[in-house]
Amino acid sequence: MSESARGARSVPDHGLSKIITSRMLILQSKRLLLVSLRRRLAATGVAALKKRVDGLQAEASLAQHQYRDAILNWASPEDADYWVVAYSRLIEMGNVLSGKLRDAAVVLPLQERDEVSADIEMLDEILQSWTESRRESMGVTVA
Amino acid sequence: MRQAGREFMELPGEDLTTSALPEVAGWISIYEEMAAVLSSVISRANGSPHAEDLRGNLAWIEDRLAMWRDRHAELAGVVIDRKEHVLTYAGQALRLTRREADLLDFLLRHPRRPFSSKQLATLAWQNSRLSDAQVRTYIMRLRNRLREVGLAEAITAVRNRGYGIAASLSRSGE
Repeated sequence: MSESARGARSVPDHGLSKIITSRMLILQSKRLLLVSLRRRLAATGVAALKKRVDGLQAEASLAQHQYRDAILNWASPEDADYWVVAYSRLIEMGNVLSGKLRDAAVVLPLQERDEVSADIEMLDEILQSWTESRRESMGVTVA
Repeated sequence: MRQAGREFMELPGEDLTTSALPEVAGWISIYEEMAAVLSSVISRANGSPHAEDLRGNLAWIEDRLAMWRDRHAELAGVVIDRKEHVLTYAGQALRLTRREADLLDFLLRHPRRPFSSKQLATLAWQNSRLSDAQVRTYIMRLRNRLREVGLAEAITAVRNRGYGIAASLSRSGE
């Protein structure tokens, strides 16, 4: 993130918004292709299409990641989209951490188990507040 | 969850510490990533109504990060006295140079992450003028010293990415 941000200093604002727009268009086109291909797969059942759907799914995920990175690095925090993406990224990481902490709890020494319980409780609270903030930002975006 | 944890009993001869070490290292990585994203968001959103709450979240995450880093070192059985530059492991004490102690302490507190020579020079020693070759020499010397207490495999080299600490430290000395 920081490297992109450093690189962004030399790109004028209109250039940055073009980067964001282009990444959004790439994401949208991948998603449209994916929807169309899935429909064809459901209608025809051709096995060869399944491989293409899987490949396109991976490309769409990558495009989404790149679009989110662009928003986080270059969009204005005054823009509600920025906060939707920022909270989404934080919620994803928080959920991964919370899942790992819960999974590990039974194989830990006692001292760690108590610490982990405290972490999970607090993380759940934080995740709830991030989810609420994201919902509010989404409301602003829609409005 | 807390209740369930208390019902679980360690079996005789079972070493839960060993299984906890890589787990804790994994949590540290995620906490670090969350702290990095939060710091970046806060720095960009200074003055925004979101920033104040996020600062509180960041403070909590950094606090837990520090706690788990300390615990990771304890679980690994490695204690570094940074003032005296003495490493204690498996009942053995080893006097290190200041640079060696700072480097090992830094790597232990950032498990599961490789660091390039440049990053190590800047982050572990706050000295960006050290060359890659100099850092490599320090790493080689530190590895040789660690061999004396059975920690020969503690520092790992990750191709094209740099140096890190082994997820589960070698306990060959035990």
